Amino acid sequence: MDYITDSFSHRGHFGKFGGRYVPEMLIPALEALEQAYLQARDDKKFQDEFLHLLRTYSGRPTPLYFAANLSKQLGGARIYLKQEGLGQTGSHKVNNVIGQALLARRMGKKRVVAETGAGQHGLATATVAARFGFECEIFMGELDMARQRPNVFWMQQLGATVTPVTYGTRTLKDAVNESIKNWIENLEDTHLLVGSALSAHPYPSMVRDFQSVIGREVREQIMEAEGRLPDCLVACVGGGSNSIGLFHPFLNEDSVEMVGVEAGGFGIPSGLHSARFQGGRLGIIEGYKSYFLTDEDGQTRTTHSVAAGLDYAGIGPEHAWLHDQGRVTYTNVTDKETLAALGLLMRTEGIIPALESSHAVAEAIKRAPKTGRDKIMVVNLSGRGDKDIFIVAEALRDKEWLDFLERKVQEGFPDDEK
Amino acid sequence: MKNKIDSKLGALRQRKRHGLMAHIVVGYPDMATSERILLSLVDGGADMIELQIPFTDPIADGPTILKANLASLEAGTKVADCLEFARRMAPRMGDVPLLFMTYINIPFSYGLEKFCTDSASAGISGLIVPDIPPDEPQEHYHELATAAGLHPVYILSPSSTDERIEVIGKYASGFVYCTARVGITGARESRMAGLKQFTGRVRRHVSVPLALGFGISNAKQVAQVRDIVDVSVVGSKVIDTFNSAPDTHSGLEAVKNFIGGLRD
Repeated sequence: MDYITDSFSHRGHFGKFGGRYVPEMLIPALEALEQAYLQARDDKKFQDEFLHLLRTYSGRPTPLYFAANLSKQLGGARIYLKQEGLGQTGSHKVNNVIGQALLARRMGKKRVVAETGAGQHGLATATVAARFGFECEIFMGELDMARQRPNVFWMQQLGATVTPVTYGTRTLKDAVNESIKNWIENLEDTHLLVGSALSAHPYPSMVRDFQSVIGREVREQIMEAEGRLPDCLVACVGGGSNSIGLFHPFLNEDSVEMVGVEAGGFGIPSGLHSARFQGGRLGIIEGYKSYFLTDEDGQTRTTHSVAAGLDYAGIGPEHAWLHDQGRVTYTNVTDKETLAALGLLMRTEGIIPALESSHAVAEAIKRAPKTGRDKIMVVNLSGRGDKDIFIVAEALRDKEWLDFLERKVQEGFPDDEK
Repeated sequence: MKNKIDSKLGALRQRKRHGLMAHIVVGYPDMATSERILLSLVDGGADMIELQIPFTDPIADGPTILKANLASLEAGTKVADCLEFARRMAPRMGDVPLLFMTYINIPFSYGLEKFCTDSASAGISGLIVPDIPPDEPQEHYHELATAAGLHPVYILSPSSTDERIEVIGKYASGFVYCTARVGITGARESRMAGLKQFTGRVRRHVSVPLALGFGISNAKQVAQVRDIVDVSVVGSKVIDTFNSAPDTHSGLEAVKNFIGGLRD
C-alpha cells in the first residue's frame, strides 16, 4: 500500500481529512501561497538555498546519537536519539521557519505573524525574522506566556512583538485563531508562518515537506551506523510537525513501525489531557478537517499538558489519516511519566530534552524493555529542555531554585536604586 | 413555498427601499435578553436578522462578537437552545427572515443534513457559514442547504479574485454578503473608497441582490452605500450599542433607535 498522499492533487485532502475550510477572503491568499510553494519546491535554486541555510545557519545535519547507557539500562532495543535540540533555536521548528521565510521573501512579504505554544516556534520565527529583516508579531496565549517566560524574553530581545491572547483557553488554540485573524487584516504585506503541520491547505503539506529533512537525515545516518533501516520510530505529536517530518520518508517502508505519542496530561480518565485519539471527534476547525477534542456540540474543550507545545485540541490532518489507515500507532503518556523520562535521560545520557520531546522518551522507556536487543529504535528529540527550567523546577519542588528566585526578586535590578 | 429572504428582498426592490440586516449572538448576554434584543431590532425596522450560534473558535470575528460568543457559551448555550430559540421567535417575526450564522464545525458536528432540515423546520430561511467554501468537495453543504429550502449565503470581499467571484456567482443563493474591507468583523470604520469598483466586479458575475457589511455603523455610511447594494449589515455595532447603555431597558431602546436611525 502507498501511504504517500499527494494532497496537492486532492485540494489539500488526505482521505477525508485536511482541506481548505476558511473564510472566502483567505482563499486567494492561500491559492497564491500554494502556487508560490509549488514553484519553489521545483526550483533547484530555492532548494539549494534552503539546504545551505539549514547547514550553515541552523547546524544541520543534527546528530543521530546512539544512547548506549539508556539502551543498556532498559535492556531492549538499541535506542538512537535524533538530536533536533542541537540546532539553531533549540528545536526542529527552525527547519520549517527557514523554508517559509525564504518563501515569504520570494512572495515579496515584509512581515510575518505566527502562533506559538511552548514558544519554540515563536522563538524560531523571531530568530529567522531578524535574519531576514521581516517585521515579526508572535501570538501567544496568556497562560503559555506565564509558563514559558524564557522564550518570551528572547523573542522580544530578537525584535519581535509578542502579543498575549487573553481569551478562550489562553493557550495554543487561541493563539492560532488570533494569528489567522491578524493575517486576514494584513494580507497584502504579511505571511502567516504556521508552525505545525496543520491549518488550511497548503500548510500541512508544505510544513511536512520542510520538516522531512529530519527523516531523510535519519535514513542516511542509520544506514551508516547500522547498515539497515530502524525497526521503530517514536516521536511526540502536538500539531504533529516533528513526527510527520521523521515518519514521512519511511511511510512506505513496511518494516518500520511508527509511534506517535500524544500528551496524556493528568491521565485520560481525568479528562485533562491533549490526546486527540482518546475521545476526539471528527471536526472542522481552524481551517482543516481532523480529530479534535470537542464536546457533542463541536465546541473545543479545554486541554492540558505539562508541555505547552502539545497542549492543543487538534491534530494535523495527515496524522488523522495515518491513524485511520492503521499505518502509525498513536499512544499517550502522562505528565508524570514525562517528568520521570526527562530525569532518566538526563542522568543516563546527560541530555536535557524539552518536555514535549520527553513524551517520546517516556514511550521509548515503556517499549524498549519489551523489544529484542537486536531491534533498532529511533526517538526524535524534537527540542532541548532549557526553556522548561521554570516548569521542571516547579514540578520537582526544587527549593534552591525557589530561594534563588525569591532572592532575585528582592534584589531587583541594581539600577533601580539610582 | 417561497423563501422569506426572496420575498423580503423582492419587496424592498419593489419599494425601492434600502434593506437592513442586523445580527445578534443567541444567548448573549443571556437567552431572555437576546430574545428582547431581537424584538427591539425588528421594532426598529430591521429587514433581516442573523442569529449567530456561538462557537469557541470564531475565526472571522473581531473582539466584540468573539467575546459575546464566549460569554454565551459560558452561560451554557447549546446548539439545541439556538434551534429552540429560532422555533420560538420565527412566528413572531412577521415578514422578517431569520438566518443562522455560525462556523462549519457546529452544523458538521450536529450532522449537516439534519442541521439544515431542523433549521428549516424551526423557521430559519438562510445560513451564513463563513468557513465552508461552496466548492470544498466533501461536505455537500450547498446541496444539503438548498435541498432543505435554505439559502446558503456566501461572502465576497475586496480581496476576492475575479475567478473566485465567478465561482461564488455560480452558487450564489438568496443574496451575496460583501464585506466593505478585508478583515474580521468589528465596528471599526471602513473606507468606502473603491467600494463601487468592488461591487461592480461582483455584479458582473452575481445576479442575486448584494448585502454589505463589516464596519458599517452609522447613517452616513448607509447613505453612501444605499445606491450600490440592496442591504446594509450591522453586527458588532448592535452589541456595542447595547453594552454601552447603563441598563437592559435603555440598552434595548438604544438598539431600536440605532436601527431606526440608520436609514435617516
